[in-house]
Amino acid sequence: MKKALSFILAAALTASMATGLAVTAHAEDDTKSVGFVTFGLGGDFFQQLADTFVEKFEEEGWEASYADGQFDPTAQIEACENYIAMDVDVLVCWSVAPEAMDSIVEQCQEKGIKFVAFVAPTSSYDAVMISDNADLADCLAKLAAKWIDETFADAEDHSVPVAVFSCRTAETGVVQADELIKIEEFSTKAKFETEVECQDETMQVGLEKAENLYMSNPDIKVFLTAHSGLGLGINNYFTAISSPVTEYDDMGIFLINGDMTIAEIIKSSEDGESPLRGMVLTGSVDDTANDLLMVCNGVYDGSIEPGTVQKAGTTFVYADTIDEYLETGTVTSVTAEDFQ
Amino acid sequence: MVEKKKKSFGDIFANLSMPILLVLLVVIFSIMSDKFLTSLNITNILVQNVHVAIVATAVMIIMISGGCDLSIGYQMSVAAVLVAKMMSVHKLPVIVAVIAGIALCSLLGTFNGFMALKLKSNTMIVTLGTMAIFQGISYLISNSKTYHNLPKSFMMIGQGRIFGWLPINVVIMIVLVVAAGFVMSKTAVGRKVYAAGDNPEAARLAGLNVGKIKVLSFTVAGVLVGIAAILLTSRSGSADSGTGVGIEFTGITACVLSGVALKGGEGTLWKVIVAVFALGVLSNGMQLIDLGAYPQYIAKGLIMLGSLYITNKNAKGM
Repeated sequence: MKKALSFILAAALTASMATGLAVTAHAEDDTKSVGFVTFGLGGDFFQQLADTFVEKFEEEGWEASYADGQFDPTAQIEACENYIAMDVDVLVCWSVAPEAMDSIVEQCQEKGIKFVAFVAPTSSYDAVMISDNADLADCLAKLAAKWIDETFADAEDHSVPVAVFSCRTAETGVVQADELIKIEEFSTKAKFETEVECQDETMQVGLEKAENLYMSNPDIKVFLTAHSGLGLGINNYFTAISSPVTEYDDMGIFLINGDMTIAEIIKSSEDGESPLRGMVLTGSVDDTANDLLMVCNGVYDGSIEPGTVQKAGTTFVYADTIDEYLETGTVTSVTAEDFQ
Repeated sequence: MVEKKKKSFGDIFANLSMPILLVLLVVIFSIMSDKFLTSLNITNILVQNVHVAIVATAVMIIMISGGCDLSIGYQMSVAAVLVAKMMSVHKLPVIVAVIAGIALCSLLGTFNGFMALKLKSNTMIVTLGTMAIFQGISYLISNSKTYHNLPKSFMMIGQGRIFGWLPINVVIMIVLVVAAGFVMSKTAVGRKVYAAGDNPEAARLAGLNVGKIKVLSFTVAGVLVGIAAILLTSRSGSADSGTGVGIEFTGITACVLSGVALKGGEGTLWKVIVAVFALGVLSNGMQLIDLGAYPQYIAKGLIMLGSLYITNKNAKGM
């Protein structure tokens, strides 16, 4: 046993030394390098974004990699520190808690590493690519409002009950829930009925909360949530074999940042197989990766002024655009301006 | 004489603290919400806690044998994504996927027990390590994807009803729990597990292979975890690497509340199941009375501390 442990330790040490040599070798050549600390990797959307990021950057000659932020500020700080130790040229970070990243930004500045904040702006940065969380939730509310007003055209004003499934454990969730509960401002037919506060944003929680909500409020027609896991859980409840609801014509679920599975379910709603009707995304994965590439190129070669703010687009995926999204991975035919 | 009577009352109270809590919660929520005590909601509570009850049974077996398994959530996650991927991507038959999921979990459980035995370390620390391994395996299998479009025959396991009203997964849970309860309390195998957990040295001197018993406890728990993963996936209709994660803490909570000793050798399954449903009723009822998420945390914590206090105080003879 001792021999086996010694062998494992020796192998691990050799591997880490080899990695160290590789990093040193990299630092000596001229290849541009970028590290991306993700928000987390728990979901197809985040994984796709990270993979596409690496793919796009490598196509442009960058040496690119990503680290799992684990939805945890401490894990993100450690990942950033590792990238700083690796002496990357540009560090991109989608912070869970931007206020916790001050020391990282300082370290980057000291070492001449360009810091790009993504989605969540840190106290300072070389560039920031933001997606306004409140705007995104507004877009979702507008998308839902369009469907409600078209589907319930003959209903009395503010008579269609809407529930918002929220998870207020992080600032993003709070901001977006606060916007979604204003659905009546966007729709003449919608009536905000209740907010279901969830303790986390998993599919199982969404399913259970939907099940319990149906007990106390079976008349809810529309469900809005900023969390794709909760949205999927609600959909799974209503499409289950033993579901009390079998006709979905007058039912709608709308969510933010769903993955391709969600997109396929939205497609199935056209055939009446599901009430999940639409989602909005922080730009498509491809567009976002391209925008990040442009920003990183800019901060690296100095063509972008320090402190530049780049706004990420919003992608609307629903009945009118689902085919385009499934075919191309993005939507260009409809933009936020169409929902003004 | 008086003191003896007091002690007896204390024992009874300690024994019944969880059922008393469950009844109290049912009464309170029934008064506060007219939707609570309906057949649909009772079915909801049962169905929502099927996988939790099976996991708590697995946790109890491990704890009685003197161990603790923090990797159960990720064992479920591995089994869930494997089973879902086998059916939705590779189009394998349901039975093959189900057997593979359960077999994999029993292997993972055995691995935990074997590693604890070989490393001679606290099982909590060992399973903290294996938890990370299982997390990695789960994400490698799923590639962070959600698997949907599972076969109807598979979904029937978690969503189907016998006679149109009796959920199949509840029946599976009852069969498993009754079988586990019988084995643990009425058979020599069960007694050996208690003995190995209560006093490993004495058990060894009595001729028991304590190491083997502990590893087998993890294996059996793995089988139960695999079944729980199947039931949860079939109920959800989809699976990702987050499926089941964190459930071990609910299982451990139910065990501790019901008096399963952390040092091993003590615990009764029916009390664990009652504790699972007390926690389930609490969670369900608080939503029905529209208590916000944060007050729910506080209420849950206070009730748990209160019942722990009663259990421990009475266990010590008041």
